[in-house]
Amino acid sequence: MSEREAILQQIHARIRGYAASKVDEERAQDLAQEVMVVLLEKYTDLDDPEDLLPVAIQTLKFKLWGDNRRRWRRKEDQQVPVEDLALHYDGPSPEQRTIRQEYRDALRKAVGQLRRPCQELLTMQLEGMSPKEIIQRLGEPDGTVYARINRCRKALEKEMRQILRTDGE
Amino acid sequence: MTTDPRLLLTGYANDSLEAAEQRRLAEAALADQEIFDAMVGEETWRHVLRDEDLRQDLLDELALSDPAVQRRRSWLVRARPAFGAAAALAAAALAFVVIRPMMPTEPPTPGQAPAAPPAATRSIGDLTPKSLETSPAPISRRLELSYSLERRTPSGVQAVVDYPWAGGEQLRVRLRGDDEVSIYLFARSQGDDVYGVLFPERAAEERPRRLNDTGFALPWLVMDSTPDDEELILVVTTSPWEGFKRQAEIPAAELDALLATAEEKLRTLSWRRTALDDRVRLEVAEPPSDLALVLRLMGE
Repeated sequence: MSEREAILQQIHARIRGYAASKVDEERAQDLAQEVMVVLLEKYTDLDDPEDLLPVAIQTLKFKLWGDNRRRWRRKEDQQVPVEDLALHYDGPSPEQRTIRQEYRDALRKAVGQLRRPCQELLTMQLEGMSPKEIIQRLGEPDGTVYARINRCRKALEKEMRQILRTDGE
Repeated sequence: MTTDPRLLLTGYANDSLEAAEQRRLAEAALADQEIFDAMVGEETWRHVLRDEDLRQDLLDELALSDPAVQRRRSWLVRARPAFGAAAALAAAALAFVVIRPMMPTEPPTPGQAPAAPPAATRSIGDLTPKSLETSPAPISRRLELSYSLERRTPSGVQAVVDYPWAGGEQLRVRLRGDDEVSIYLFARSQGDDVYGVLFPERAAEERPRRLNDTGFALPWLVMDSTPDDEELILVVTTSPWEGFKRQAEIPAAELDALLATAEEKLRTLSWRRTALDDRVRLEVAEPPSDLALVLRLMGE
């Protein structure tokens, strides 16, 4: 087994492990397999784990988003294939563009729903401040700031799930 | 090199890891499901930070949800829905100027006349008039810029031309081109003695940005239905505006005098405006080292 194959095998295992905590075991297996197909077919030029892993994670994220979108909308006849939604593609189809646009819209709505302290924290990050600069600006202990950042990101994810659910109803 | 997993994960989300740190985090994630799961958890934010347009969109959204900023960003415009194209947002003037003389380094004190351009600085009148249409002379410097107006609707963002807006709507300008430019956006309502500085509003917005065909979208403007005249001024320059200090407001007399001096020369300069389907293309060609486009947008 080549080094690349060994890395892909590890990525497969991790994706399956993560997906299993979000969807049923069968779908988790499918998701892991689908991500592998994308990596094998579209990213043949990537060999290192630090290059492959971010692409795998982003592909997984979009696939999970597509899954959730379908689940909440309960319109199986309008299912949209979400393969190849990651970075490397010849050009998105209209359906893929729709999913991307929905994802962006959901993010926009989600940040608008966050509580003000979280909005201020995220604004600092969006403005390009590093964690160290944020810690300096807030004048709080490192741990407190990291905990706040994590809470805010989780709140953002939660808002996005809520928006997806509401929009699908 | 950072080895703390928390720092590595935050660095991953911020896309600020060094190569060795990226490798270390990736190897740790492959070996440990918890770290992998945490990386997946950071992906949404990482995606946001890597997408400049989305990042700007979210900053706009956050600004719009801040009541203090909302007040400052509100652009008082008159809603005239019955007048069709006549009530549209339209480019009323375009000037091609050397930017450096436009702004004194220090703002004048109240009651003081605006400072004259420094004598040592090249005067706009030095530029030789030419026509892009007729002059075959070689052009040593060119700025080509397209702008389009976009309207936010419940179904997404729509490019509009000659759009009769209503109060509460959101419009923005998108710029496309090839150059690295600095962008400034000012607005005021009739009777105001100051222009609000809508852009740059934050430190991150001050840096020059390379335009491309996707373009750069300026912040959303909230249209107010208060009956009033209004004026929006967009300045796009090929070098940062020297002397400009990021601030919430600039005295109207100061900015007006500087822009008037520039725009007075408009008709003698080489520029061309082409209306395309979804955008307006502006071209200027002259040899100075700094180029700028000044675009006035207003309700007609």
